[in-house]
Amino acid sequence: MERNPFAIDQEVIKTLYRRYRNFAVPVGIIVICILLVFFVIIPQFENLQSMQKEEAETREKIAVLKENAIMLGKISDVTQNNEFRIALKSLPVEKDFVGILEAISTTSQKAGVSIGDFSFQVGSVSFAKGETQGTTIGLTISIFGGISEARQFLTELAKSMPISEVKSANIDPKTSGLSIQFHYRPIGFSAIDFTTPIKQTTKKDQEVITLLSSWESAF
Amino acid sequence: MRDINLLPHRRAKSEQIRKALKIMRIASIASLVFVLLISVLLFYLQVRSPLSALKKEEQSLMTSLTKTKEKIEKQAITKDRLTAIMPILAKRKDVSTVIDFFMQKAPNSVTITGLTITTESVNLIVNGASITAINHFLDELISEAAAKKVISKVTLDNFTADMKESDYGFTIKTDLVKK
Repeated sequence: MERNPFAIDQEVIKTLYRRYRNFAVPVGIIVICILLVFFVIIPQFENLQSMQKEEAETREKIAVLKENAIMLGKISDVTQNNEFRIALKSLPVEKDFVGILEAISTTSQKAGVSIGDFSFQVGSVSFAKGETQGTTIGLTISIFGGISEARQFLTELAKSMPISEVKSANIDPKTSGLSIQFHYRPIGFSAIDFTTPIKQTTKKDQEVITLLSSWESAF
Repeated sequence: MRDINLLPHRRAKSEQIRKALKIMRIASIASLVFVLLISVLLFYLQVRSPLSALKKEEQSLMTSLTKTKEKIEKQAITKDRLTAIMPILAKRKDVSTVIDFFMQKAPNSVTITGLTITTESVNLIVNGASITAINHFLDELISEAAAKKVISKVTLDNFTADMKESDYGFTIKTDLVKK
């Protein structure tokens, strides 16, 4: 029977082993090293990189947290409560009908004018989650009096809270019809993130606070 | 018959194998040393990483800030309100100033009997006994419209004249300057 020269039988394997057995250990070591590089060293290297990235992020967060803590320490509770109250009164988080009625009542008393009928344009009574856009409640009101009374009423109204905007005024010698929009603004964030820098009140903010405080004290 | 001497060839081949074996051994030792060094280095860098200490510090700062959560919320809400208030105040028209503007421009013998004010325009109903005074008032408004400080355009809508009674009435539409 003729033997196939390419057939690998036991004899061939034995011959090859005898001839190359000294290579087995170094080749095995190299193969194991290559496997270690791919399955251990590279993942460990990636892990180290992600650790370094996380480390940098954590350092940034710590810096922000420290700054926030310092900033909060500087804010006096009394000042903050006062500013918070005025800011909320000026721009409530929801439709503040009581605040509007109080503003109208006080304005009419200060202006010395009688008010007639009024009606609210309530609009949507709910707002979408996360809605931060400024929204308004419309109010139409009639006041008794001529141009000077209407003028006085509008002057006082401009200094009232919640903040309002006159959209139209129809002023006659005896009665005047005013269309006013009162502003409110839902809170635009659901949870406080301590790692976000706390926004400090700027000089302009302070000017607004001072203006609003002067309105409040005069009201 | 030709002689075939296999000896030198076999020796050369065994020399080649020995060289290859030597290279393989060096390569295997080098790769072993490489893997070992890299592993030790990576281990050292990971052990030396201050991440866990930083995480602890972050957590402790977070805990201390949680106590001032209300203060942070108040600050955020106040800032949010003030940021929103500023453009509203800047944009809104001071209607009483607009009324004052027209009242001051009207001479004594001219009476403004009606005003319709919107965010864009003001319609005036004016009466007067003197055509000269009315003319003066119109001239004032026209020059103000040219200056474009409060009003930008004046349109005379209607004019009525009762010559016997010396009673003149007209309606004017003025466009307000946009803020």
